[in-house]
Amino acid sequence: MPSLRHIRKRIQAVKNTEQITRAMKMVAAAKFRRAQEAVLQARPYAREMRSTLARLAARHEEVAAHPLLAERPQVEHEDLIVLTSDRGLCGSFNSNVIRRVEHYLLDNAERRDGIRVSTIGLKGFRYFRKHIEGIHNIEGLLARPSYRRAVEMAEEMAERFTSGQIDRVTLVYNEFRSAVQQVVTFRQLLPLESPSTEGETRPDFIDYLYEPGKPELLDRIVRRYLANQLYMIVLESVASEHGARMSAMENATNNAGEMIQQLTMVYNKARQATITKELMEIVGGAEALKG
Amino acid sequence: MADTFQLRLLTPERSLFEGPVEAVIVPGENGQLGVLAGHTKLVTTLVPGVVRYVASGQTHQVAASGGFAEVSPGGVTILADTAEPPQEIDRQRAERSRQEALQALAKRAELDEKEVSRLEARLARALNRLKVADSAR
Repeated sequence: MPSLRHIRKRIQAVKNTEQITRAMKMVAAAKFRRAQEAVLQARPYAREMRSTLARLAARHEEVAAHPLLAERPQVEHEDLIVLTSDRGLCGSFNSNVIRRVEHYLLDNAERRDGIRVSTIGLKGFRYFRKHIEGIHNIEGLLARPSYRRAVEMAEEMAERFTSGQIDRVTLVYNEFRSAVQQVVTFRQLLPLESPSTEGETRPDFIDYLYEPGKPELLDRIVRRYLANQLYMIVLESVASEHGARMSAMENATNNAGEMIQQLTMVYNKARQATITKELMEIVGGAEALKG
Repeated sequence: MADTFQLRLLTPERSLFEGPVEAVIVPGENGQLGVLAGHTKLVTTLVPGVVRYVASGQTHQVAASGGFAEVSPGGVTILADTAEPPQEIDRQRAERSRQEALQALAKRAELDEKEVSRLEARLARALNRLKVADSAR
């Protein structure tokens, strides 16, 4: 049995860890609330944008014919963009994504040379740079997701796509379900999928267009839609990250508490044993003197 | 009281206003576009400018930087790229931005076309913000 002093030290160490994880949990909770709020604030626009485009597409076939919606017969060059976090200690948030990407690359080994992997998030970048040469990390999106940055990135993507450099853009990210549930999702961003009018509550299809003329208007809307999709995915991933960290730290704090309880039990038993032993010795000594 | 209709002023980052209004004026591609209740359906792109709306008799101004507006029987939906109400505008920053853009544009002969249009857009944004900021004073 370890000595009393050892157990005491151990308990103290676990207590220190518990304090840290508890603090991290609170920070993550605060950040999570902010990230969740950002997602909620962004949803009305995304919903309206989608609805507008869907109702336009139902009346104007030019939408479906837009170059950004054109499905390529053969996918040779693909951009795979992996969203992870910049920091760790968020449970399996990053490893889940990384594992799924590894599987994807293995499953598509025959066209592996055509797949260009990029990351958003240092965790994914540090992992993949070990065995993927020339990988680059897209910065300036995670810490403070801004729509402006998403627009820039979407324009870059659209340019690569329409010029024929790539045939598809896929994003891998943790879809935000709730604070405790994140689901790794592969999402094809380009070619864009035409939003369907299914579940559309507003039946007023848009058959009347105004300035500055149909092609320009449709083109602008499609491009904004792309940027908005990208922006929403980043927001969701960030919210998932803080949610995952919050529950990971909550678990760690609970485990530390349990461990302290168990160690305290061992400690008390050991202390009791020492007292009993000392008593026995005294009694034994007294008996011997009598004799 | 005038007839009202529903206005939704949304940006990708947040919703700014949602409620009944009596009138909306948006900076459309081909000029200002005023909308009252019962307006015909239309969709238009917006240029950077001031969005005005009248809610319970009070006129509000918001600096917007382009986007779309859809007028439908259900109301008006503005999908702006950015939108700032007067109280959020940093007047000094806008003023500084205006002067910087003006100074750079003074030497426009030395600049390429792309740079000039970028600076002009910046100047337009700054003027726009100043206009909205001053409207609330």
